[in-house]
Amino acid sequence: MKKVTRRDVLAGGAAAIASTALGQSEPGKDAAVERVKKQLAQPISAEAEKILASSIRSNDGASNARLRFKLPENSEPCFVFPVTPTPPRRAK
Amino acid sequence: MNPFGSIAELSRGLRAKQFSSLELTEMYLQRLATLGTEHRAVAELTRDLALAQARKADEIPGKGPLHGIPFAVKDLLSAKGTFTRWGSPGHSNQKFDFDSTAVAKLYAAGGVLLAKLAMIELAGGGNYDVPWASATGACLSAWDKTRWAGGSSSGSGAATALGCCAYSLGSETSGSITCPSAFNGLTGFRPTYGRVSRHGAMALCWTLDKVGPMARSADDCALVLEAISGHDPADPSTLRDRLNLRHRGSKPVIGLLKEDFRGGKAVDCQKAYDNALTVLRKLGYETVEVAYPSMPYGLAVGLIVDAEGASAHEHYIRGPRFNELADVNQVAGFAAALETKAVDYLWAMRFRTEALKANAIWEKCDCIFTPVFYGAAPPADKPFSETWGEVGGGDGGPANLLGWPAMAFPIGFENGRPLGGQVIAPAMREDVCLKVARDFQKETDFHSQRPPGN
Repeated sequence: MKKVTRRDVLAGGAAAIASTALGQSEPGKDAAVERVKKQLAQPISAEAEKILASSIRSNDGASNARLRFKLPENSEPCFVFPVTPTPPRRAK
Repeated sequence: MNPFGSIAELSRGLRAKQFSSLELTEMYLQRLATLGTEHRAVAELTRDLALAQARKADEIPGKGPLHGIPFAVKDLLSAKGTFTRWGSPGHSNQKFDFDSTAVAKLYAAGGVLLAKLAMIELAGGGNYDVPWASATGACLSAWDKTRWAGGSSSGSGAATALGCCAYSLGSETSGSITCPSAFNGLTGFRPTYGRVSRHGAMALCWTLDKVGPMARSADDCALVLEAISGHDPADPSTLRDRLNLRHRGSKPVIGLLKEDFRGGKAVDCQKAYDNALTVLRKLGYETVEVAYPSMPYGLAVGLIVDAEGASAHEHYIRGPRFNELADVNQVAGFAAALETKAVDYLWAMRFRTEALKANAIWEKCDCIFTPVFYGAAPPADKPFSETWGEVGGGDGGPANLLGWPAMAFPIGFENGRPLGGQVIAPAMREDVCLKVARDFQKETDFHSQRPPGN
């Protein structure tokens, strides 16, 4: 059974529930684990790999869960790129 | 010298030459070396630096309230000449050749840095599941050495509550000041996002991280926050508005959320909370029931922590020392976070704009009073997945997501271990948090009670 973590609890359990529903043998999930492992400099332990698989499923669950909350079309994220003016170029 | 003295008392003692800063510093260094170490609250003592700063403070008397007062900081803040290991075994050799802005401001106020304090490795951004997710092991609660001190500002919580420093600095992305404050019977002040510069502080989440004081009273927290707040060109997120802790407006109306108290099983917490409300109502505070708009705040926080945390620590995650993290859950969590989708992160950042609708709650009240958790500190030797059900609660609202300030303070006990409440206020209204907590502490003595044996 998938462990429900503190963060899952914080997230209202939605991610945990969704990820648990995805199941442990979903095709392509092992590929995700392999893809992550290839990005790491050292091999991780078997225990870490097991939790990694669970974490990836949990993240997928969060990814699905957030789709249930529809954002208004054309809404803005909460950051704005700060355009920085520079002094006029001095002619040579 | 009273190691549990308030900052004002210690300052008066210094000015009256009842003791020197050097004597005060030596006393705290001794307590850190013994009590602090026993509780695994210390990452590194900065003895030589502290003694030099204390001598200087004695030679050149200052007028400010923090002059000559010894403090300690979470080992997430850089201080020139010290290791800054971020609680991580894989950062054991890390040093920065500059002071974080918060530390520099305390130096400028005449502060004496005693120690870098233990913390959860990388502030727990990989979804830690064990109290010993730290280079220094499980930090133990000041009140019970079988219990966890909370995190991620673990050492700041335990050391300050044990009277090992006058006050400390912690930091919070999502609960890391309020949690150890509750588990150690401390008062912790999470300021509005941007109130205190993050320059020189380890980034877990650039858009969520806050640096704040942890002390033994609301008054002490206020003195420290006044010293460390302010705009900093080195941190573009800092606010330009000046902190004003003098309360403005009429007596705050306190909003009360519908509390579950773990299905009624958190009897001690419910009693402590009800008693606290009785005290506040006797003081003339009006209360009103409120509710946050139902939105997935926690889900958004999780996605932001994953995306920003993986980016902030990407070099380390992909590097040769990644496996040295003490908690295998952190290894897995940070590695998995590399896969966070850009659209998920951007959804969370767009959601944050949408979540601003939660500000509507401030049309009914001026602050919210809620337990930090429904239970006291969990065992220090078991994973949270086995114990967190006995703690439960925690504000599931938008406070961290929207950068709202909160002050956590002790309101009672559960089997001899402290329970915390917190006052959450609108952004930029730290004065409201302070007023309610200060009034409560004038009428109660939970904050001045000492851990057993002290």
